[in-house]
Amino acid sequence: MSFLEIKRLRKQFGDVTPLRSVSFSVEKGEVVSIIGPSGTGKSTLIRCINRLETPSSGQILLEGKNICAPDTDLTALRRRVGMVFQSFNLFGHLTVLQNIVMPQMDILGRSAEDARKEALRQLRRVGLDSKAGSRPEELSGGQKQRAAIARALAMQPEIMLFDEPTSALDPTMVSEVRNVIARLASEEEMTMLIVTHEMRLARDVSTRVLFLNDGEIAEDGSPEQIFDSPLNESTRQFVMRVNSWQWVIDYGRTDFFIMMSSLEAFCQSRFMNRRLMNSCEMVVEELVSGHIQPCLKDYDEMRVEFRLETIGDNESVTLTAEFSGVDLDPFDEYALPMSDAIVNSKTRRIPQDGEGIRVWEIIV
Amino acid sequence: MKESFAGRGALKHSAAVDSAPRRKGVDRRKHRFIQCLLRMASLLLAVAAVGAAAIPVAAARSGQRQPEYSTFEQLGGKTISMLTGAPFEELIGSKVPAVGEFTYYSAPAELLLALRTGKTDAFLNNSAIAALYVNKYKDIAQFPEPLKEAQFGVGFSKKYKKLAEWKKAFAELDPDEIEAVWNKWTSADESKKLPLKQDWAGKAGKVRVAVGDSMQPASYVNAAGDVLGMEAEIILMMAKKLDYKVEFMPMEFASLIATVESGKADLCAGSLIITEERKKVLDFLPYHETAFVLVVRAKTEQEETPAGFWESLKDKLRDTLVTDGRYRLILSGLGTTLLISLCSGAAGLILAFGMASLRRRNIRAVNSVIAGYCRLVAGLPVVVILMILYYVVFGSTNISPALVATLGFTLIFAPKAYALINNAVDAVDSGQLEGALALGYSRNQAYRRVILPQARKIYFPLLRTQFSLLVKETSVVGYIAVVDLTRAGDIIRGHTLDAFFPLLIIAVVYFFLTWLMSAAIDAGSRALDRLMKGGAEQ
Repeated sequence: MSFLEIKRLRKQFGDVTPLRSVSFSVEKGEVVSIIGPSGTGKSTLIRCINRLETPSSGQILLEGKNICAPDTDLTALRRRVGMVFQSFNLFGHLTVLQNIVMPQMDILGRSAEDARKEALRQLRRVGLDSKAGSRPEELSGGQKQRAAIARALAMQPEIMLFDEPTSALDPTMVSEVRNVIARLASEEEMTMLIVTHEMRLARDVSTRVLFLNDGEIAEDGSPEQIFDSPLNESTRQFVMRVNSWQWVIDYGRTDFFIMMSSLEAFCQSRFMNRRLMNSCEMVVEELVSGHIQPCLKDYDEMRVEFRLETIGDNESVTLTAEFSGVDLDPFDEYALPMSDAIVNSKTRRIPQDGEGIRVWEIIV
Repeated sequence: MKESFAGRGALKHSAAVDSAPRRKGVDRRKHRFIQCLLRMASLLLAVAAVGAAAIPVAAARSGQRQPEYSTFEQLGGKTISMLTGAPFEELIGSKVPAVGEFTYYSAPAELLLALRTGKTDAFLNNSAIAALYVNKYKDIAQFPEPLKEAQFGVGFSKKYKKLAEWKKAFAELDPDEIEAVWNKWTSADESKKLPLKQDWAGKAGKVRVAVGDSMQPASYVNAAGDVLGMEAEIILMMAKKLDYKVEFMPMEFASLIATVESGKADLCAGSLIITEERKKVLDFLPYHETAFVLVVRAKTEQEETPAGFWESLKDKLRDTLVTDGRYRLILSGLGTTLLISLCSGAAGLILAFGMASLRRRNIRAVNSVIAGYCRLVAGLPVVVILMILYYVVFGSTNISPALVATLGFTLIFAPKAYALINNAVDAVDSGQLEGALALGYSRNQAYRRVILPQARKIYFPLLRTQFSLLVKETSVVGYIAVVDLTRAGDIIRGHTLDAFFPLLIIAVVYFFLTWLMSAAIDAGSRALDRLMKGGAEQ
């Protein structure tokens, strides 16, 4: 008998059916990440497990007991299942310490002294013991999420659910939360279920990754399998998309400032180091100002599509430019010597067979 | 916290964070204190200024007393005043050619003040009031020609079957004695106007008599609550013959007829003039003729040197507060106002929280009942709600009017508090509820421990404002025969015939009352905060 077993789970909201039929099981000590495109019901799935949502049909068995049964004691269930939210949900009227102490006293009936000891132990675990007396609004996003994790842990749950724990954070704060979750996984052998958009979290922390697509589990495998050699075509496309940045310059109607900040956000989300990020940005900028903009002045119906792809842990970064709508090659015909020099110093050209396409590998 | 080094660090940290706002709080309190001193000073300044304007008039002009106007022609183009709602414009218009303007006041004492300060040139009233005023004040005089003859009468409930018996008793009274009573109560000599005693057994039973509480000289009450006045005395003379014990029920003039009509009293008195309209709802025992007359200023030959500013200020203050122990009336009115507003504020709050927790159950029928009740209260004037409660809902019971007022204001305050609490609860982020539920809180627990404490920050300041408004709103309870602070002022004005000082004192008392209450609520909530903080910090 698995610790948690989900059988043909279905959830419908009116006309929308985010979960059609989901089945999988989780053993004690496993860390399972659930990834997938937005709107495929990842959060709904995890919220069904502590019954913040009620499934339309199917079963969720926790140690063999169906928690979807109508007579389920929800408060007792939720005591066993810890949850961390995207928006932290720390209680705004209490300090960090009180946030962790109060539920232990109210729900587990612990003495004030025991609750306080436990709270401080958990705060040390997430590295926040110095912030015990602070109010939630005084903390950064990453600190808030760590406090929320400590609060859930202090209730001694048997399984922890993480609902997009890093989505509301600045890219710079993602790693502190990821490290805390990774430590829980490796040192405490906590059973965890993580819904995330953050591929690095899924890859580094989990023992198993589920790819949820169209309300069903499309692929279930180890992180290496899912990210490096997916069996399923939809998984492959999804993984590739989250690993690449695309931008279309269409008939000269592109706002280049928005384009550059989108590129920067992508580089941050891939945790590129400073130098690699600079190279990517400089190359794209010089290609635009040195070749594409001059060419657009003469041929305003030209269309260029940029694609930046990373493989593995940024081991290889390639930039592809596909152009159409003009007979000439803007990268040959329009060239400022200064721009060319910069692009050449930061890239290695990868020869291509077809017309209208160029590929560079970014080098640091 | 002692056993962990990190914990101690946290404690120190929080102490450091706490002390700064506390110091700031002291500064702010000091600042607030200065602000309040300034406010008080400006209030007193305003008092003195207005007092200075009013007092020279009070220093009576005297000399040979002749009315300033003695023919209807002379009143042409002048301002003539009367009580609000008195239908005499046509009557006056038929005698006075081209009246300049009609103005209206709500109490006889205000008419008097208006005449003496020159805001009006003549006022209309019954001959009893005119006689009393002219006897008391040397700077006014009665206009020689009466406008219309009329009859004073004691009103009898149509349900009360003993009118014939009372008529017989009245017929047996000595007319000279009645005249003596009239003269005594309309004279300027206050020493003979003593509280009325009932020294007979009252074997025939009890009779409930609603009397006007500020209708000098017909009926009024002193600070001790004793009933005085010629009409009250005449009723007692009859009651003695019939051996009835009289239970006087003093109230605002406007409430007299409704009280008898609803059966809360058997008789009513207080300068009631018999009219065809009133005869439809009451039976009358006519006891004295009267007339509608005009009172005008007196012509003066020479000006008396006015009394010094401080002297007359002292006199006025003494008259309003000290004479006859009138401060007691203000204190007991203050107590009533305080009691009604505190009780209805607390009960309204409890009702509001009850409704708010009912709403969370989300039962459609209950929700629409609550919504309907709130809309009903919001759509009715406060006075109307109070009068409906007193005269209709509790019309046939003997419930104390103060209790009815408390109930009324509870019903009025609750929807306001309910709306504030609801909005505040809705304003708390829904994630807070989910966070609590996910930890294992039940919905009710989550509401109590997580949602309400955060909502309180939002609704509390608004609730405090609403409570201040409630204190002031209670000033209309006089309509249902409760003597609150405002009514106490009215009664004193009825005695001293001075509209200005009692109003001013009442205003000052209200100001400090609402201000102190706000401060008390603030202090209370801060203490509560500390208590709750300490509770969770343990």
